[in-house]
Amino acid sequence: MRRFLFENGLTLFFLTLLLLALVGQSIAGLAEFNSQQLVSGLQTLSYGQYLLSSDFSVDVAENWQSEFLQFSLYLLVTVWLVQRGSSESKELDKVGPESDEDQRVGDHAQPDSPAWAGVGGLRQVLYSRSLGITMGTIFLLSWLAQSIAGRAAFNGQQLSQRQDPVTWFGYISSADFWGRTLQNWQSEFLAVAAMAIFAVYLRQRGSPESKPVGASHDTTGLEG
Amino acid sequence: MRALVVTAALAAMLLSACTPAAVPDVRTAAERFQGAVADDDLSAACAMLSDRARRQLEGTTATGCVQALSRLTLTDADVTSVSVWGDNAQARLADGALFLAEFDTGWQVTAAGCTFVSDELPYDCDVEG
Repeated sequence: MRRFLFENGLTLFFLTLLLLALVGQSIAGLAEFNSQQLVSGLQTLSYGQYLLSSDFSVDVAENWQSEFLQFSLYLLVTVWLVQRGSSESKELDKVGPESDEDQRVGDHAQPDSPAWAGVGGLRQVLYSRSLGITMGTIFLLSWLAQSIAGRAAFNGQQLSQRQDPVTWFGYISSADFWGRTLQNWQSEFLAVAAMAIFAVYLRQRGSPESKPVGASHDTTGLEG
Repeated sequence: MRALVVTAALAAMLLSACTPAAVPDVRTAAERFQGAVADDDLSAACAMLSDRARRQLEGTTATGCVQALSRLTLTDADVTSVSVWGDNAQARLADGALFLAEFDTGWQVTAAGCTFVSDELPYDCDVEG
């Protein structure tokens, strides 16, 4: 058990933080939602009702989609774009999908390579892009969930303000949808840009996300 | 496993956004209100208003709800369609709309005698609260 916790500490730590943050968000969100309900002379919700509400769902989904977009984009863009001196970038002469030998696929697969790395054909093509496909799919599903839950929450607000509800197409062209979307995207893009450039000049001793402390600023693609 | 958790969470989000099964209840409440107006049973109509709508109505004339309602010419048109989003609902009438909200006691009318103004502005309502 202790060995399992040690070997999976990174994933378990962030999953635990996720749950704690979701609980905190739901408690704060419920308080804010019920406060607005009271001001409008409407009924308040219980904690369970709020967890199943479109208001909570859209707040969660809009953040999820932007996180998965960030990682999906980062995975794809770092195949082709580099940042000289950054541990977040690969070496400048390795731009592109790289050779089969470098990627250990096809005839270059090793005995301990994943099975689909050496099978060729569609399975190898899919497995070679499975991380990006999975992250990209979760991004699209989260964004879809945001649009559906967001429309429900928006329409509830519309009705409470004596206005007509909107269609799904009406909602995805609304300021509410794009405001929620872009306010999350801009923060993700800022964080990635900052990490890519800060990693050139700054260090975090012991972290694989940083170069070794003594590595030169010109060293690209080296992780500590 | 993680993909399963993510999928389940996304499915829960989508389900939470679906129009609830409250449409028949809203339609019944709206039709009862319109029926009371058509029958001139204004005390029944007053009983179907939300507390805030009733107080607003009484406040405008400093009289009782029934008297205040009798001074208005509310439409008794049939309900043509209903849409429900969360605990808010709209009943479209042949010539206007009612707005309702769900309370512990069931669906109550929060605005009546409403006419469309524009997509950007709220309906203009004779009774609202």
